[in-house]
Amino acid sequence: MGSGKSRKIEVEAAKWSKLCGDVLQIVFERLSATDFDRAKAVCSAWRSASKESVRKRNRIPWLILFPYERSNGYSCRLLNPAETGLVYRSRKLGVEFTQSRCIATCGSWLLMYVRDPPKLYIFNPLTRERINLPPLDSRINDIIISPEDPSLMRDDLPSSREAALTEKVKDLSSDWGLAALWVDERSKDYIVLWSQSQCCLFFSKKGDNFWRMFPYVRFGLADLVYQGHRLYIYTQVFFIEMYDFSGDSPVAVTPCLYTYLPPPYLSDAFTTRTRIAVTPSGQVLMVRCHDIHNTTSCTFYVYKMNLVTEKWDHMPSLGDQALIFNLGITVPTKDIQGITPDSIYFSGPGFGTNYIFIFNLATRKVQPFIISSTRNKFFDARWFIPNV
Amino acid sequence: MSSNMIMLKSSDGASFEIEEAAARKSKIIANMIEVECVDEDKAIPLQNVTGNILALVIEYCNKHIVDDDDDVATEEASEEEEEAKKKKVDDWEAEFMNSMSLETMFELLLAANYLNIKSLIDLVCQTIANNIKDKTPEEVRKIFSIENDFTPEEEEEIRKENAWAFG
Repeated sequence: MGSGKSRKIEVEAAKWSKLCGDVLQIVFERLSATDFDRAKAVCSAWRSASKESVRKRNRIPWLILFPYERSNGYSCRLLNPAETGLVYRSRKLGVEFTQSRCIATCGSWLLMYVRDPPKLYIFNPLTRERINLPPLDSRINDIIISPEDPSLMRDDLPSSREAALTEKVKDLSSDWGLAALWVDERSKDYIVLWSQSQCCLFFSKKGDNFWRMFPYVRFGLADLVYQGHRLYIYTQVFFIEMYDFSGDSPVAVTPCLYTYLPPPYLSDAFTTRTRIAVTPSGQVLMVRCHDIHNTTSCTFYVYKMNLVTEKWDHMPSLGDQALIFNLGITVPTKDIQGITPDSIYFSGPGFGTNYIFIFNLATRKVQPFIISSTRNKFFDARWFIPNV
Repeated sequence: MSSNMIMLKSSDGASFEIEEAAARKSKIIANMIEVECVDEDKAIPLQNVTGNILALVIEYCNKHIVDDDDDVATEEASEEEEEAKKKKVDDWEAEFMNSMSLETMFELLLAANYLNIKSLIDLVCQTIANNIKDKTPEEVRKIFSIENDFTPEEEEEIRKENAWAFG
């Protein structure tokens, strides 16, 4: 009997690694990104099966924590809300990484800004792939709009444009700086947009070795979101503008459905920040965040444009969407584990690691996210949606 | 409620009687019934499934036979009743999976795959996934008695690729 049993184990040993590929795929689909990553390293059969896997892409926000310079072995920490208590560490990302600030993300890709001398590059902390971007002083103004174009402001001075072309880049990670990033995971096509002074915007696509001036800035820029080949601009006169970037040069999207009236204030508290967020269907929402520094009184209001009254209506609920504040998008949560529906994922930028939380719109309560012992070792954090 | 009974015969010669509705959980058997290649008096031979595993498959099918009948009547059932019913099935499934060894689970998975019983495949795969969760590759190998068959070069390659480490 004893020998029979040990033989049985040997038979078993051969079997699990020979589980047919289709069935193994079903198991893989049920693993979290990190478990899947480790399952690949079990044996050669599982490894080759993992290459066939068409697992669903991750759709939930993770938190990435950026290390202080010369600390934490130059690596980031990643927290997946679906796996409470686990902290992942990226590989060593080098000195330059720790001296850079992340100013935008797209999937796993980070838009990194180096202050001195000023430089931008795109970096994937999981694969350590890097895309260098044109030098910031290579700026051109090549998109000519006809004087009759209604999108051209009457008193738009050519001289101010000229000045913007040579203006020194001071600090893109400041409160005045704005940036957006889009990267195609497969082709590595990308577009990067940045603005340092709110009155001028530059962009560069894959293949460009310069930055092109975006010609349609008429009023100051308060916020921008790039989503689905469209640029959404929130101007300082409370207006939303949309531009299509699918062609060679950007084109204004008409008719414009958004009007000038700002949303009504629903809180007396200090407005820490107002920004826009784009839904998967392309609708623009406005989000106001009040009193961020006080976890008990901190509150958020979301508004959407009412096309009949042409006013911003308060939205008491986001339904089954969640809003990722620093990405400026909402994402679906239905049937997805590890994401809280009807909530706002908040993290900086500019707030360091002190204000990282999920604001639940249904309960109107702040749910802190991060473990305090981790917080002190990192200077910045962002919600991003890594492609894992 | 008289229901048709079908005979199934395992690879080791054991015969089982099962209600047609339960047997239809298997797409393969359902197909056989559709094309009328099932002889009323003759058992369907299943060469790839042993008797003890077939007994488990039948136990599973019998337990889930009600689901399909319910689909018609769901509108009448209150949400609470639905929930209670679902919990009962979940509890039963948990107990069912808990009671078997990994060896048995493996055989059951092969049988479910061969007979094409989607919900049973899903159930076993989920249980396997739960066994893998939060484990290192070394721990997974131990649990499933899988041999590490990588060459040193492959090991190195994997070490480089593997983005995730516990911090």
